[in-house]
Amino acid sequence: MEHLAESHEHHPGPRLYITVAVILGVLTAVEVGAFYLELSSWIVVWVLLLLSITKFLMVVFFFMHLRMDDNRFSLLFFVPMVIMVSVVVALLALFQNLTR
Amino acid sequence: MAANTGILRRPLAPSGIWAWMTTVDHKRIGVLYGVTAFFFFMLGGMEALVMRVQLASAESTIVSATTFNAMFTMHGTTMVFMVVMPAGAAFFNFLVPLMIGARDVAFPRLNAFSYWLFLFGALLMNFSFFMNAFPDMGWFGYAPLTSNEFTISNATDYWVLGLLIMGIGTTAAGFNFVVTILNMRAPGMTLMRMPVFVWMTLVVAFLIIFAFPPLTIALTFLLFDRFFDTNFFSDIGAGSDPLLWQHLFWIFGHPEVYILILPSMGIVSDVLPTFTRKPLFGYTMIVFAGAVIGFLGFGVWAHHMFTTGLGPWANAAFAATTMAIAVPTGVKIFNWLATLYGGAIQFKTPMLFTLGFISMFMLGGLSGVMHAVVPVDSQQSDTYFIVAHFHYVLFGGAIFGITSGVYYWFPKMTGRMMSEPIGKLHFWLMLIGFNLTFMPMHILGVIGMPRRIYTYAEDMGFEPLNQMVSAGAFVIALSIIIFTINIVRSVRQGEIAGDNPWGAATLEWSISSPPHHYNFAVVPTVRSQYPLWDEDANVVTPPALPAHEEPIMPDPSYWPIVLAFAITMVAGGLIIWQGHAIAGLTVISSMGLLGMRSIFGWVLEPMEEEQRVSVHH
Amino acid sequence: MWAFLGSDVLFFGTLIATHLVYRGKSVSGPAEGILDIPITTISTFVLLMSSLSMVLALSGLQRGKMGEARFWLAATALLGSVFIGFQMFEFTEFAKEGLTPRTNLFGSTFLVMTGFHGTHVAVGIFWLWSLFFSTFNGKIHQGNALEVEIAGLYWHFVDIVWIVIFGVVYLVGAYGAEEHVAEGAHSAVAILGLG
Repeated sequence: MEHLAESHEHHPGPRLYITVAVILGVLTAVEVGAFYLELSSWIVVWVLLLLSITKFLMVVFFFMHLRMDDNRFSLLFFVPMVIMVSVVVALLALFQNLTR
Repeated sequence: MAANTGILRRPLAPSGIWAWMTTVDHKRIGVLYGVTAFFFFMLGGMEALVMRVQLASAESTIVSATTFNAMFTMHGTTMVFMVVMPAGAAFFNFLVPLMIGARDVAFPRLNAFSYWLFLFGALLMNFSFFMNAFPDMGWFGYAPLTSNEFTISNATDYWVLGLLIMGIGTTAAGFNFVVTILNMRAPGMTLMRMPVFVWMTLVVAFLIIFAFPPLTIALTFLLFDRFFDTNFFSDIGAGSDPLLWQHLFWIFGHPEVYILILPSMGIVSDVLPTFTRKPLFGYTMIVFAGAVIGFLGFGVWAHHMFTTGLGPWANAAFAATTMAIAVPTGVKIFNWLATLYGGAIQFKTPMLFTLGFISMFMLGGLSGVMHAVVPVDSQQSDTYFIVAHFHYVLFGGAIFGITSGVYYWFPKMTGRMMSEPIGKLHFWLMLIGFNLTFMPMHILGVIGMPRRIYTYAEDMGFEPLNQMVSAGAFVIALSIIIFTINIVRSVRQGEIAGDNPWGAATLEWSISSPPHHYNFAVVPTVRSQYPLWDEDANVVTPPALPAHEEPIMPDPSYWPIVLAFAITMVAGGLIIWQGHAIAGLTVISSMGLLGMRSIFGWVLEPMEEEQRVSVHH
Repeated sequence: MWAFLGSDVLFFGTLIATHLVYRGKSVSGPAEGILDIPITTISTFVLLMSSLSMVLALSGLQRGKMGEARFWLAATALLGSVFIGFQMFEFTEFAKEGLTPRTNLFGSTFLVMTGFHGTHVAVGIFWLWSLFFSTFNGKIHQGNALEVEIAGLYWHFVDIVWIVIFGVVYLVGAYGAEEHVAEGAHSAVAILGLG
């Protein structure tokens, strides 16, 4: 694991991390707020999904430093994500069919 | 002084039983996997012979239905998890570091740990035989047959726990090989200069780490259903859906069959150039096709479920993906054929088995594509036609490929050649026996013989073909005996091999046979896919290094075997707990503590002891 | 560690998938209505902040500031423990209201999924305390900050799994009960041209 991990020269300071954390907090608040608002369920579900994805990506890219690391790590992580999401969607579709 | 992180001193001696139990050397671990796999091959073979004796005549009563069920369950489980997978592991372990110019894998102790988990998990599962709880629910363990309601004995528990333990070992090996191949290649060995076998190992390692988690979850759900009364598969009244098990199992199961076959495809791709004296045709396409097969393999799983009522859209989607996956496989076959064309073919034993692989696997692939057509599959499903298909690809494919690898690399591993005449006898007997056994099964399937039945009525017309099948099975058995004789004889008195008896091109042939424990005296710089066939290749093997100049290698450790033992005993404790709560809890907690202590011991132990003063390469 | 995390994606993905597939199919017993969003919001926030403290610990160690590293490592472990505390509270409340893994599909899938997540967090806490103590005997220092970085990757992963569980299982799940999620899933399926 060693030589691939040494590809970044400088480490971001605390300021970036605190900023990201504040944004994460705000997004969570928006999510919870959307939950309590009386909006069409369509909108709420999609807002929640999109916000969750955003939070997810922010932690991965900033806290886990993936943005600044070798591309191979991104591949190692996102290929299984693609597989997993496809499998989940397929399973959902399959099980919807069964109850029709 | 060795830094002791445990009660016992760290073992540093190079030979004896204790040395083998604590080895972290990839070559020794490879040998351990290979020998163990061969042992289980015999065991699985005997399980098959019991079935064939029973089925040779109509309305036979040689074994009971329950015994027969246990035989097909364990034959399948043994062959898949305890033979073909560890045989692949034997090759990865021995060869990959040698082929990429490395001295060992990235995580040597984790490597040993994987082996011991495999062995102990396999022993746990087979131990059930002595407890009158031999698994008999099919190698794929369909719910709800496996629930408490329908399987009262512990058979399912042994099966689930044995698989979970073996699965942890396999997954750990997957991580090890991904990291090793990505990080430890010699200078100049770009990804596109690696031997195809190493590429296939990489794809398999990814398949392992992505496909085993769904199996782990499915097994865990089943375990919880049986031990803690949860509702994942078992309580139809509460809404559990047994089909969920099938989905989860096959989401694992389909990539698993690619895990089984890709190593053999890699072996064949490296044997062919050597015995045709020309480079592999279409290296890039073969590598790419292998990667595509791996990826697409995750999208075809429900073709094992065409007869479960998924609905036309699902069936059509999976039929399409299944047909698509035949394409990269076909690309490989054409490339192999093109490699043969115009080559100076030498019909040595490894080449014979490789040719056997290509032809037999192709036949199996053809019957596989037939299954992709949903209406046809509805007829073929659960008949002997399917059995014929998967034996053609798994025996005709994986086993023939592995055997080719054994004959090819035996000289490198032991320093001696295997006997050519005995090898040729082995090949022809095995080829004839194999086809005699499995070709008639196509017909049996088409005329309606179902799978997993322990006998059949006289007037069904199945008997003549079944007799042929059973006879064929004994011919296979004879060929395996001959194989064993060849191995034993060659180890003792085979002709001395030298470093590169086949005149091959890849790095493992540039060092001594068998290699020194540090593999390479000097780490090579690589400039092409066929380093030993380069014009300026230095084909003289460097002499062994004097002891004080040997590179520092990782030292043996007992933590891997201890931790593997602790984990297995925790599983055993769970089974004991079912019958005797206090005894079970005692075992679980004491072994759990041993396990935790082992983890600390392992983590705090340095990879190599500091007491030698030596010069790095 | 990235390879391990890639594998763990499949692990948690399968757990979440099973839960989603069984959504709305429990024949009896409590389901999403039992989820307490306000409390879980707090615990989610705690876990998010623990990711911040983790990365601050790493940053401190990389700059050679041992005091900072120790402080933030301990903080991360403590925040993680607070999260576990909330989880335990939640599970015991559910048990009182009649939801256990045996009760129904929701109970089995939800509790096993969050149980595995909690176990991952607990392993992480253990790991963090080991690292914390190792800063005192010289085993962890600026030169081998990679060891802490790897632990950090694991810790952040456990956090992002929770982000998904909170968003998809708690919020989407409990929003007006089951039929909305089936709709959401339907729309996702329809948009992707399946079904």
